[in-house]
Amino acid sequence: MTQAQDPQITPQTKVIGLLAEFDSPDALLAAAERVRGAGYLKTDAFSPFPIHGMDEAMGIRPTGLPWLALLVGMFGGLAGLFGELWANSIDYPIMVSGKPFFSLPATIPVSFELTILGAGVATFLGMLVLNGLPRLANPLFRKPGFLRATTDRFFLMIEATDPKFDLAPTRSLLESLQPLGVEACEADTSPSPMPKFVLPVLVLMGCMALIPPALIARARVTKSEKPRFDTFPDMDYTPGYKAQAPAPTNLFADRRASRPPVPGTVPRGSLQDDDRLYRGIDPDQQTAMRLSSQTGTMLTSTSGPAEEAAEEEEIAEEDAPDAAPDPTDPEDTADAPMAAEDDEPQPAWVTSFPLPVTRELMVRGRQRYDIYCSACHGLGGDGSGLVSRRALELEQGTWIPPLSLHVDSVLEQPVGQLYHTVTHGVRSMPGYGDQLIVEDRWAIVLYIRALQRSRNASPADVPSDLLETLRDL
Amino acid sequence: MAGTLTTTVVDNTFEDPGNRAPLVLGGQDYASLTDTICKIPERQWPSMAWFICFGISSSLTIMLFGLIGHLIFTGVGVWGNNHPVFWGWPIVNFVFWVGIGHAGTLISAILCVFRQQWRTSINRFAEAMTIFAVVCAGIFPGIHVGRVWAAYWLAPYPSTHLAMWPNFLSPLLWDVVAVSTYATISALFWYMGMIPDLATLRDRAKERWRQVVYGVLALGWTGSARHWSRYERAYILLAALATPLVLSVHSVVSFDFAGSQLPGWHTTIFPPYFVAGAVFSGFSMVITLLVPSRELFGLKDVITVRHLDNITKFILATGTMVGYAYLIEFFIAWYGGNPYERFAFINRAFGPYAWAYWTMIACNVITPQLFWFKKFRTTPWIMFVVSIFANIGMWFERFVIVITSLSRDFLPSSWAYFTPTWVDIGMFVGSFGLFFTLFLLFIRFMPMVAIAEVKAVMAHERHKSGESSHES
Ligand code: HEC
Repeated sequence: MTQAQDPQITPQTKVIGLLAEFDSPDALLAAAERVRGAGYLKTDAFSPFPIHGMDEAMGIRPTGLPWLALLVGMFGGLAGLFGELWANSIDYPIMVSGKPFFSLPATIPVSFELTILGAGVATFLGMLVLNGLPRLANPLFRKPGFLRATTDRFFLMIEATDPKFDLAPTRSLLESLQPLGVEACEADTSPSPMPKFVLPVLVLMGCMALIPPALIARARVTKSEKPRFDTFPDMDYTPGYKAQAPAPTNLFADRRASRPPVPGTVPRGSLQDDDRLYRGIDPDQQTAMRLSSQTGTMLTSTSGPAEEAAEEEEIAEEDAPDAAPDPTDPEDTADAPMAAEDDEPQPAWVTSFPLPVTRELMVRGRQRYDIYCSACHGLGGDGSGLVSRRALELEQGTWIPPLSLHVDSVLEQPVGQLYHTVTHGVRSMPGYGDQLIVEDRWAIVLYIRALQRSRNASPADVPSDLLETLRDL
Repeated sequence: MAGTLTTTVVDNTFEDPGNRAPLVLGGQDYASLTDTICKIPERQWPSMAWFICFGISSSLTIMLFGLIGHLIFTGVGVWGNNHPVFWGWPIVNFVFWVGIGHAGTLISAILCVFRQQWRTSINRFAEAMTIFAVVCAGIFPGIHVGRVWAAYWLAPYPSTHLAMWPNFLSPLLWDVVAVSTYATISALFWYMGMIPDLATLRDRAKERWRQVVYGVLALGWTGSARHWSRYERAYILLAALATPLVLSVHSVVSFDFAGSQLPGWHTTIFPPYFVAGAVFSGFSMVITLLVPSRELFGLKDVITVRHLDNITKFILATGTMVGYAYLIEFFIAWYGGNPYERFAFINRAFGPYAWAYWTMIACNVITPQLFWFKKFRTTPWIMFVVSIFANIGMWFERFVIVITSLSRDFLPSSWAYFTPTWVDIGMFVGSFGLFFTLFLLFIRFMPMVAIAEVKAVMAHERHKSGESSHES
């Protein structure tokens, strides 16, 4: 490349700058200082490696990159911190061996890494963006000599946009710096056009890239009857057998698909070991009775088990606080509708309430009774509930009217037996054990006792201060 | 390649503060240096040796992916991992590779921050090694999760499937974040450092495809002073950011162990001990790769004996640190008075895995002591051998930590002896295949020395020698 040789400078080509070539970094540095001294500001130097002192020589101001890195880094760190706070202590708190849901030290690693990640990516991208890269088409690349700028040559360029730029004087200034050569750099007049297919392809790819997010967005706002699409079904569909269906014999000998619990196991919360409360039976009396009945049948067969049970009840009911009216003869009960069952031995029903009798329990019992029992038995327990009345009106002949709760056979029943009736039903009456919890059943029994007493109450049963008001009525 | 240049053998390993030893030898100038390095990727066909190496390593890579397929379709039972050793070779290999991946960024970041200019000749090389090692490392925990197709559950995303988030209190999750951050930043650092050299390759390219590929990769770099200004600032920023990152990554990896309550793992010395071990193994791997490469590609003027000498000093220092950590572990096991801890360490040294323990000690602590002698620090083939020992030793260190501690459960009835399966061994060997495949491709197509940075160091040295009177 010889000096002062500018080929193709024609009126059509626009000069964008003058390029001087040097062979050493020191020469470039000196030239840059001179050019800046001459008042040129829109200059640039090109070198295969960064030259120490070039920033000062050209007056390049320090970049704001560190601030960007700091900002994005801080954002990354805070995102890590608050992301962890949100994820593990607010949105879905995970309890791990009693550790706190949020503890600052545990967030350090992730927050730290995200700080570095944010700052690092910001530094890299910021450097590119501030440098205007990527810029694949550059008029400088058209100069064959310029290609050595990345190997061993050093260039100084004064741009035509500089206010002091004037082709001839600027050129002579550059030539006075003893360059290897000075060249004019022209704007690209014939930029090789982009191939025609590029734009449509890009547009098409852009549109296609929108399809998946659009589908996801739609899926999030619409409802579907179809089951979820499983990329990997994992264990969503287990090849298990229906609980009641037969299983192949090679699985279990008894061909039951669902296994019965191991004998003696009790599900959590189902250990109903308090017979008095859960079954209304007094266990001590029961064993005593069973023993005596066994010895009874062995030694003498005079007294049947039913009689003995009745005797037990008599004894028990005497110390019950809310004992029913005088215990009657066992023979009387035989007249009652439970005659059919009378052959079976009656268990040792409890005669006192196995849970504390309180006003709350009574109120609760009344409420439950009104809901569950009054439809048949009537609010007063006379057997005149709406269901019953309607059924009688229909005269279908199939209706067995509910028993009045004030008949002697019911009056003399111990509370345990009433509880049993509520739980399991009796003869044609269904049981309510599935609908009512244990305490509510006892509450109803208590209320029935109250109903029964109300029919046979004496003035002594009424508190003395209320007695006065009763008289007025 | 190097035959075209006249190589004068100069000893640049002397230490004279007043008279700095030159970093680039052989009377290289900017053009000849560019030529030396760019010729390697610019060759029409690589050498026979390259093809043989590539053939071997790529078949091993194929084997690795075949075995991964076998694993995915069969299940993790194909490995030797079984009760009580559920972290078998995959985790050993993971820690091994991550450790190796520490040298690159350490050389380019920490040494950059400390202005160690000798790093410029080897940093590109070491960074590439880092990235490929991290790739190999990343594979193992990825397939270790068992159901690989659900590995994305590690990512914290608002999932409708799980309706929950990962547990951020778990060191395993920190590890995921740390290693992926490290991979990202290392790759950025590597690529950014390569942009000016890619521009050099672009400008030298004769074939159209090279012009296009290198042209796109170089992003239109011109070497403008305004660009250099920001670029250098960005470079030093990234170095400053990567410095704590390097130290954090292996610390976090060590939390995977130290955060548990297993005797032999639950120690506070783990983070520094792991970092020292990582640097040790990384530098060893650098030597393993560098010694043959500089020989094969005629880079002896650029990667001089002085560079190797410096690296071996690092190996000596970190190897000794690791030895110190081994000692302290034993001391604490005794001094701490915890019978389980004491048992774990006695079992390490004298139990069924004693062979592994003493292999580790011999390779990591004893062999590097050779580097106290200058003779060994300046003889490439000896360092090569020692570096191989160090690599073996560092693999065994992880083996000892993972296997001995796990195989002795708290419940003696579950004690077991770990035996790897052929799949374990095949995958480990295959990971070397992947590593070398990537590395050979890198050497084939990319500038393996940071040309621009070496030139800047050369300019600095010339400037000094030319104007030393001016400076004083
Ligand atoms: C669907 C109507 C119906 C409801 C509701 C009903 N019962 Fe009955 N109940 C009957 C009938 C019918 C009989 C008589 C059964 C028989 O003699 O075959 C009866 C009998 C009884 C007896 C007498 C048992 C005996 O030993 O003779 C008691 C006590 C009793 N019910 C309590 C209750 C209580 C307490 C409730 C509320 C939890 C209730 N019933 C709810 C229909 C009902």
